[in-house]
This record gives sequence, structure tokens and C-alpha cells, in this order.
Amino acid sequence: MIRAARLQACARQAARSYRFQSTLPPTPVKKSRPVRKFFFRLSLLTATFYLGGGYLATKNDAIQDAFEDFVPFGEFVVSNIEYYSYHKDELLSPFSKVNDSFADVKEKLGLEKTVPIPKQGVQSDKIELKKEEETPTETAVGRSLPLLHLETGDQVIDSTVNALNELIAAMNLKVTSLENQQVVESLHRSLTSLAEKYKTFSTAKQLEQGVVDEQLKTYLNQKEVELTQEFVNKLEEAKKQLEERHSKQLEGEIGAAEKRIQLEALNLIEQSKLAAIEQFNKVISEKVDSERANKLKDLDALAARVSEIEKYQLELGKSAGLYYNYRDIKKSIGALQGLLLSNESSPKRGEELVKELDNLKKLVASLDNDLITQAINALPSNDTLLRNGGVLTQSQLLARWELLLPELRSVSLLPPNAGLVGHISSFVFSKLLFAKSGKPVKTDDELIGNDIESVIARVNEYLVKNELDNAVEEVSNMKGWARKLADDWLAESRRKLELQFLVDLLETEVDVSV
Amino acid sequence: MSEITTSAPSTSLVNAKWDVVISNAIVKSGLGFGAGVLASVLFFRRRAFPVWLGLGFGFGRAYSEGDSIFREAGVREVKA
Repeated sequence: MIRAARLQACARQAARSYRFQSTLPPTPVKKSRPVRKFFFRLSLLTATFYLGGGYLATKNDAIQDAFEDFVPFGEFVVSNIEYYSYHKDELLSPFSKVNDSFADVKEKLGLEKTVPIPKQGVQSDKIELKKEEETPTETAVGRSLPLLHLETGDQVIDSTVNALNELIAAMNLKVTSLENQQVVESLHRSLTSLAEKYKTFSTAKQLEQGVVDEQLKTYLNQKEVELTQEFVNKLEEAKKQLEERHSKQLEGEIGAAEKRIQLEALNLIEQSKLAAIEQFNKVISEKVDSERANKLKDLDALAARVSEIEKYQLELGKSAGLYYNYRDIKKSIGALQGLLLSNESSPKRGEELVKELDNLKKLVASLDNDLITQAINALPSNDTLLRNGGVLTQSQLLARWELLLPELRSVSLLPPNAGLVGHISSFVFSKLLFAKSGKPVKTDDELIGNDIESVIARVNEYLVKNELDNAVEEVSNMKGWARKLADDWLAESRRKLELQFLVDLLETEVDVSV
Repeated sequence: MSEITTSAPSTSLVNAKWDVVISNAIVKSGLGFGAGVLASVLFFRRRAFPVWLGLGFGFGRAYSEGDSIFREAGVREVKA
């Protein structure tokens, strides 16, 4: 323990000694601050440069141009210097703006009005106090110049007295000496004498004025009486003249009015006469008309009937014409249908068909029906009909189909893009196919119900049943070589179908429209 | 009528091709046969095999041309 305490004490002493050493004042080393120095010098130089340059620029135009063009912020500096050189006052009194604004605020608040301070009293008090302190020996204590007391009743004199009083008061604020007092008294005296003189003068003037007024009054009264007399005379004369003129005018007007009234009366009488005559005429004509109507009534009715009958006749003629036309059209259509459906094949079939069609076209032209004209336009042209010998009969179509069959069968087994071997094999193996009969059911499958034998069987069935449209549909659905081979047959059948359809359409339309 | 119908009827499309193919085959095989006979007489002391060879070439040529006819490529035209 004791050792430890000793050790501690030693340590403390050591620390103290060390601290003592460390707290010695350090020798002052003058630090050179190059950076600060540099910046200071730089700013100094810049400021002198700009100020000097700006000043020179204000003096010389050439320097100003160069300064503004080549020195950054040159223009700004020059403009600022110019501004301040023109507004030196503002630069010198920086608080003038503040004072102005303060005064504005005061004015707005109305502070100046609410605190009226009498200038004289305040100032004079202050000055008296000052005089007591500064020069108590020079002037009498509390002495002041006497004010002037004079009331003449005249405005001019009173105002001068007041002005003088103010002057005296102003002088009182400054030094008031005995000399001044004497001056004021002499002033007072002279003023009183002046006032008296003025008074006497004014009273004399008033008396004179009274006499003159009296004379003027009597003169004016005389004048008034004369003038009124004259006025009354003139008035009476004018009155007489006016009355005369008025009476003359009145007489003239009365005469004119009488004439006008007479004329109007005459007119009225004439008018009533004319109206009476007109009415009379009307009555007579009415009577005559009614008499005639009674007698000739039947004639009018007869004319009406005749015109009606004429109308009927015209309508009848028209409908008869229509009916004839209609009958002709029906006949022609019937002939066409006969030609289309007949089974007799003759070399003149095409010519007959064309002739009948031309006839029909002529007949139908008068109907002026859009649908019919369209149907006629859609018919195959005469040229094609003549070239192909009209249309084939049902038996001819069937015969051609039969002729086509072996060809169809021989190409029925061809693979796509078949070569020589393909054709040979198809030709050979088609001989082994079994012909179908009846009406095989069609399916979506490519093979079942859609093979060439099924198609052929169906077409045969349709042709026998005279359902050419279905047969054509079946054939046109074939593909590949078979479709190509059947092209001619298809064209023939289609022409026939087309003609049949259009003729049927014409017939129905004619039935409906006529 | 015959002057108006210019194109052949559609039913004889395949038959027309067959006609061309067969005639072509006869010509080509005939040429082959002829060439074979000539070679046999001139170079092979009338042995039979050149004739068969020529005939075979002829048929081969005819077959290839027939194939091209059916595939719509047509016959190769040779200008004499």
C-alpha cells in the first residue's frame, strides 16, 4: 500500500514537471502565408484594374470600346461607374432612401397630423435655456420685446400688425436687446399715427359717398318711371297687331275647311251611287246564272260523265295493251323453256334459241323493270350461243358424260405430279376398279364417299333425275386431271343452267310485276 | 364450226400427251436400234449385243422424255 502511494506521488510530480515544461510560451514564429498574400494582391490588382479601367472608359470612347469588348464584366463595371457618377447624391447619402420610406410610413399612419407641436413655444423655451447657460451676462433675464397691440378694424392694417408681431416674436427667440425694443416702440408709435390718419380719411370719404348715393337714387327713380311708360305703350301696340293678324288667318282657315268638307261630301255621294249600281248588277247576274244552271244542269253532268268514261276507256286500253304484252312475254318465255327442255337435237337449235331470245328482249324492253333488264344483260351473248349450237339437251349431256367416264377413271389413280410410270400404272389399275351405283353418301373424309367412283355414281344419279345443278356442283368439286378433263362438259352444263335460271327469273318477275 | 373451235377438247388432254409419248418412244427406240445395227455390222462382226444396247438407250431416252411430258415440262426440241 505504502509503496503504491509513493509511486503515485512520484508519478504526479513527474507529470507536474512535465506539464510545466510543456506550457512554456512558444517562440513566436512569423508564418508566411503565401496563398493569402497572393489572393490579397490579386484582388487588389483586380479592383484597381477594373476601377481604373472603368474610370478611363468613362473619359475616353476608344478605351471604353476596348474595355467592354475584351475585358470580362467590363460593360457591367463601366455602366455601374457611369450610374454612380450621374447619381452622386444617392451614393453619398445612403440613408436617404430609408428616411423617405420612413416618412411614407408615417404619413400613411397619420402620425404627423395627430401630434401638432407648436413650433414657437418649444423652440423659444429651448433657446432661453441655452442662453441662460451660455451667455447669462449679455442679455436681461426673461426680457423680451413687447408685442404690438393695435386693432383698427381695417384688414390691411391688422394683417401688417400681425406680420410685425410674428417678426417680433421671431426676434424674441434670438437676442433681445434694448436697441431693438426702442425700434419696436417707435414702430408702434408710427403705426398708431398711421391708423388714426387712415380713420379720419375713411370717415370723410364715407360722408361724400352718402351724398353721391342720394343723387343717384333720385335720378334712377325718374328713369324707371319713364321707361315703364314707354314699355306699356309699345306692348299695347304689339298686342293690337297680333290680334289683327290672328283674326285674318282664322278667317282664311275657316274658308278652306268649308270647301274641303263640301268636296268630301260630294265624293261620298258619288261613291255610294257607284256601290249601289254594282250591287244591282251583281244581283242581276246571279239571277241570270241560276236560271241558266237550272236549265243546263243536265248538260254539265253529262260532260262530267263523258270525261269519266274517257278516262276509263284510256285505262282499259292501257291495261289491254299491257295484257297483250304480258301474254306475248309469257308466250316467248314458254317457247324458250320448251327449247331449253326439249330433247330433240337439231342443227338449227342455236339459231332458234337466239331468235326467241331477241324476241323476248324486245317485248321486255317496254316494261322498264330494273331486275328484268339486269337479267337480260346477264344472258350469254348471241355469238357464244351460235358458236356452240345453242345448249345441249339432257340426253346429249348424259351421252357426253358417259364418253368422259373412261378418261376420268384412267386418271383417277394418278399420284400428284405423275410421270410416265404413274400414268401407266393409273391406266392399268383403273381397269380393276369396281363401278359404284346409287348415291354414295358424301363425308368430310378425303377417301370415303369422295373417291372418283362415288362422284361418278352421284353425278349419274343427278343427271338421270334431271338435277343438273347438283351434277355440276359435284363435277366442279373434282380435283387434278379429272377436273381438267371435265372442263368442256362443265362449261356446256353451266351455260344451260344459266339460261334456265335466267328464264325462270324473268318469268317470275313478269308474273309479279304485271 | 371447225374453224371456230381452236382449242382441243378437254377430254383429249391426256390422250394427246399419250400420243406424243408413244410416237416419241417409237422414234427414239428406232434410232437406238438403228445405231445398234450399224455398230454391230461395222465393229462387232454382226454380234447381237450392240443392237440390244442401242434399243435400250433408245427406250431409256424415250422414257425420260415421256416422263417430262407428263410432268408438264414438254419435249426437248432439237433443231436439225
